[in-house]
Amino acid sequence: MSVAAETLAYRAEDARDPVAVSRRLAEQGVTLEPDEVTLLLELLGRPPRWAEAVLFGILWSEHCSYKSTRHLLRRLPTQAPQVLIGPGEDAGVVALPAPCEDLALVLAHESHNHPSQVLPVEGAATGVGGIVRDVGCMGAEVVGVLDGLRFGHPVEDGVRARDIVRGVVQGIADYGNALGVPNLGGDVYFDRGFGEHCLVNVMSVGVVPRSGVLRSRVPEGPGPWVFVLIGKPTDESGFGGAAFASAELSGDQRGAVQLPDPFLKRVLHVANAELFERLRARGLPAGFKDLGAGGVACATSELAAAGGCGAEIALDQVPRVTRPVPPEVLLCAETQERYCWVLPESFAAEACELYNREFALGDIVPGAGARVIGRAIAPAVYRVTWHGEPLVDCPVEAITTGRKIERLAHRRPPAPPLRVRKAAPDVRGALLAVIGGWNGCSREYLFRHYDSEVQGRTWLRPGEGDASVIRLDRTRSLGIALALGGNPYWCASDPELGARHAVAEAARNVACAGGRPWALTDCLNFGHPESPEVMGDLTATLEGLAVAAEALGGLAAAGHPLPFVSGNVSLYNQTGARAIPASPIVLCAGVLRDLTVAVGLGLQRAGDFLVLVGEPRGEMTGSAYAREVLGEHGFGPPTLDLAREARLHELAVLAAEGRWVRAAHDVSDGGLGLALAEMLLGAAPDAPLGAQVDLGVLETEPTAALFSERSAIVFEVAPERAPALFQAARARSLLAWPIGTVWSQPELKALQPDGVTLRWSRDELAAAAERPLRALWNEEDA
Amino acid sequence: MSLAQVAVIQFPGVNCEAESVRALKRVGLEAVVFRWTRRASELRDFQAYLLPGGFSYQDRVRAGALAAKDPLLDVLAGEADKGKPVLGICNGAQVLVEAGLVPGGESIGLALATNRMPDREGYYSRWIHVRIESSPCVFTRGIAPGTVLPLPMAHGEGRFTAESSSVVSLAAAGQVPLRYARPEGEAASGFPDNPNGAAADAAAVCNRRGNVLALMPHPERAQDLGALARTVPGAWGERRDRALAAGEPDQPGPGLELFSALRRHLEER
Amino acid sequence: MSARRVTLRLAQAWVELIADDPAAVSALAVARARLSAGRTLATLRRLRLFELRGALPQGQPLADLLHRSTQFYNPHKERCHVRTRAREASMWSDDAWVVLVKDRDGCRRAAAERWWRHETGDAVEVHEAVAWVLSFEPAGTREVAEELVVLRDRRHGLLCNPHAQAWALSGTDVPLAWITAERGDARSIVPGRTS
Repeated sequence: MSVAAETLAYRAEDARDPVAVSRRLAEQGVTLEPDEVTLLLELLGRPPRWAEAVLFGILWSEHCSYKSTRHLLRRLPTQAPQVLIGPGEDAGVVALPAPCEDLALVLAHESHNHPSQVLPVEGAATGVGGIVRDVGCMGAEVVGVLDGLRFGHPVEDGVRARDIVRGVVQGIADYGNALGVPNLGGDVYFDRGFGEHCLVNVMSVGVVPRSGVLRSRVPEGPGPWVFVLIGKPTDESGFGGAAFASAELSGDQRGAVQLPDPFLKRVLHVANAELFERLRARGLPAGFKDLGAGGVACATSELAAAGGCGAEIALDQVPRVTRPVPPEVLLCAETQERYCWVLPESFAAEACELYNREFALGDIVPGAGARVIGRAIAPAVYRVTWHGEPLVDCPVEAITTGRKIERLAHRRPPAPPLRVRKAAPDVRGALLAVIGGWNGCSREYLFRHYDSEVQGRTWLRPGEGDASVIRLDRTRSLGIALALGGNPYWCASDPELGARHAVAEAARNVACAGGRPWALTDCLNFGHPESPEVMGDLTATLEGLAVAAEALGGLAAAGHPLPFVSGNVSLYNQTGARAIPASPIVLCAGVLRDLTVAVGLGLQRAGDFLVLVGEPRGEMTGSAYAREVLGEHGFGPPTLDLAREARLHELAVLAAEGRWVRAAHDVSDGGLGLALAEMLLGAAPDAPLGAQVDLGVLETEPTAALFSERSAIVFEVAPERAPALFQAARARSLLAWPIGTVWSQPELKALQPDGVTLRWSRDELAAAAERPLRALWNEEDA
Repeated sequence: MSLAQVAVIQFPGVNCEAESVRALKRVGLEAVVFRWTRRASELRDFQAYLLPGGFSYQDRVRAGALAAKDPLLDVLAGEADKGKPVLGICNGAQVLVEAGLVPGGESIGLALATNRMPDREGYYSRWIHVRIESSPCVFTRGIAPGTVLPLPMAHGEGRFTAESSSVVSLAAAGQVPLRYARPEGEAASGFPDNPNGAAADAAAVCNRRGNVLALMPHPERAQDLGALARTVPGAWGERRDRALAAGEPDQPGPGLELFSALRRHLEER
Repeated sequence: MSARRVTLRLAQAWVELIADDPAAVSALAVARARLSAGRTLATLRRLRLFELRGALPQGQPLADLLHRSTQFYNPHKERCHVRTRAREASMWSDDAWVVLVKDRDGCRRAAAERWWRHETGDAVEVHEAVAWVLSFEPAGTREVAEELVVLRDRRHGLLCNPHAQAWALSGTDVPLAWITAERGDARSIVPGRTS
């Protein structure tokens, strides 16, 4: 085959100096590493056309290929009886118990870090838009989103950091609220380590009939199968975004960020739901995939490759904007709000009619619609033409050829634990400092920007419990609990132990709400893969995640790990020599067979006992107290015994299922002191409820009792149920301390061993907790 | 007797159709999602109408402004004139106000303006309490004045306001059937009891006849008693706790009271 | 002190989407299809208008400050025209009408003012409103433009709900102080050519 020279990205003879070719291509916006310049030549057996170079540049980008990490990710446990589809598809799918055994839960998790740093509103909104597509393309209804956020320090990193916080929250709110998907919370930390690179991790949850899961591939059978592109007209927006997400931020890259449109997406999702119904009613097979990085090219080639066949795409048929856009750009642009169907040819016209007439997509956004753009073919070749002229013509196996780069990894020794020699004298002031600090303060100001109630499924909202709980099917009793884990200070100082804690905390939060930890997703946010230290941290993190997951799966299926079913790796969160702190962010989804047992964190009734169950108080290492009050940074996390941790989760779940407890809150950031304050503030605002505790019971000095962050849970338990809780704890060799009672004064009272009683009124705790975020939003001094 | 049919009108961008349909069905009404691409005249076949929440036409120009000009609203206005009940929730309320169906009369008489809140702006979401006022409104029919209902609100433009002091006059005329209040029913004491700064603490305004209601909070999101916010105190809080203790997720929540009132009204006609 | 720093007292920033503004596209379609005064409406543009009052830098430094914070606009998707003199080339065709719509209850942007003080140490007042640019084919009268602006019923008016918003109508010689022309009712501000 001869190809005109001007359509070639480089000539065979050029490739003798692949470094020069790589550099020249980079100047033109195409990212191929030198060895990839040679590899592409070999795979095609001829020099690549421009469109081919663009396509493979994206396919082989870190973002799409996971070339530095895919082989390392195998360390994570992904198998368990409840797993229907594990990592590899756009989203993971897990089976559910009765009364929802005919349904499946869909989970996806991604990062949108770099774009959110550049353009916070659009970046975060596009993140939400992308993750809901990942769930939607499994044939699911999207029933929730969560977000894990890491920002720079609001004061030390200046107004830019504050603009990013406000912008990201606005972007998440604008998109999710308009789309009609409830925001089910997440977590947020502020630290200078994220000043140059904020983290915006987004997670999405969906529900699908177990028999109706759609796969991202050309179905089996003779077909004939056609590709139908639906959604927004393709333009040049986001072009090169995949390559962009795989390189360090430099210069003005605002042009690579996509423009999201939740309004069109809402209509698209309603129309998709209608088409899912029709396909299921008629038993028609179909394939479905969202368009993300690499646009039409990646979606159609991967649909074909996964189906073991080839494809012919007529790019001129793609619905597009009226202004001229080069075909290479149309092929790979990341225009938002698009999906690709693979449908039986006999059904394609009806499907297009649904989008174009019944839902009148073109009235929503000029040029939007559904159109047949190609067909599946038996020979395993992927061809794209533009008005009959070939743009791409390659064997499918070239597309599926995985890239792998063995990176040097250097595991650094973990930071030592902090040994506290001096305790600050002002214990009362210490709690106010912790609850008034950026990482201990109330998140209410933030989450009131979000609609957490739309769809009428929400049972336990952000702020009401350690996990959010939704009623998955509105007519059945099954609940899904969702919570995050990932303390950035612990992961930075000891990536492996920090990662164990991340899994443990997410699962513990779910268990506190009464959910049986059922499945995990994760995103690994790190710096340059070229840095051996970064790869060392990443390897250590994977080890920590794996070990914890292997230990904590028993409440879903005895003897099995808690499986990772979906995830994402975000590298290059680094400027110069300064990488972000190692940041795994873990989502745990849990199952409540009967969601009426869901346990909140707010105090409920005066006279109830407060019982602490878990590790003894003592270690202060890694605590918010050490950072906020003592100014001690960089020490390792507290120790964690995973076998005992698993028994603690079991106790929390049994306590909820047995209706023994009225409230539960895990002790993590800020220790017991912050946990009690949050339980007090979580009570009904007008209820005169407080807590009085005797710190002497904990047999340590008061600061350790109040601020140690070793794993534990505070339960509020009715006096007559307390024996059951103590007995169950004893049966699991767990330590349990009766630390106090709920009382009818809006005040937290702590009796110290020296006989002095510390008191904090609800009002002063609330004022301290609310001040930081209100000040941030209003540009006031915190 | 066959069930009365309610059209749940779906403009592009609306996003509360499913829970609205469920709420109507739970009180024994039939409900159908009526898509904006259908012929407007087909609306006449229904006995009542619900405009659900969301972001019709992406809140372009103003929330509700573009849907208010849709031919469907002309048909709806005609049916409302015949006395058929029309309920607009949140964005649906904004459409009814922008279309002049509420408070009714010759010209547009109200606006739902951007929230006015201390130390924050824009979209805001939380559970609030509303008190039922004496009114000819069909959606509060049979609910004793003074009854307090906890409901969630979630909007950026929900402040009832008018050029003159006419919201106060509307309240005096019985056209403000739900007002923001304290949990025990006393008058709201500013933010966040009244979450958006609405004049006269108005959470909803109806036309004079009482068959068209523009309601800002979301009763359809408060249809499961057990799902009430954990911070809801008082009698409703105790009922929630009893429902949870009994393991009954389907006990009717406070939001269903308004839908039950609609069913009572339709049965009596 | 060496050179005296020249300061301005008043500036306008006109911000418009680079791509088609969806609100303007939809409003144009609805006005043409549904409103009698809208039949001859040919084009409709929507801009966000900021007015800054106080000690402002001149020229590029002013533009750079506006560019730096998302408090004002997003340079990726919007362009910004800074206007500091009353007499300057018009931004639109001669027979267009420009309509200002602002919230009755104030359009001060406190967060933007605080940001400005942080950055410059200077106190400025920032006001924001929306401006619509209407052009008719054939040219429309002031009455026709007004009828499109003020919401009266389902057939009349769209751009301003007078119960919550105030408005002003101008020819293309838009006043430099417009949002802040008077602290009272903006409707009294009707400069510009006669129709």
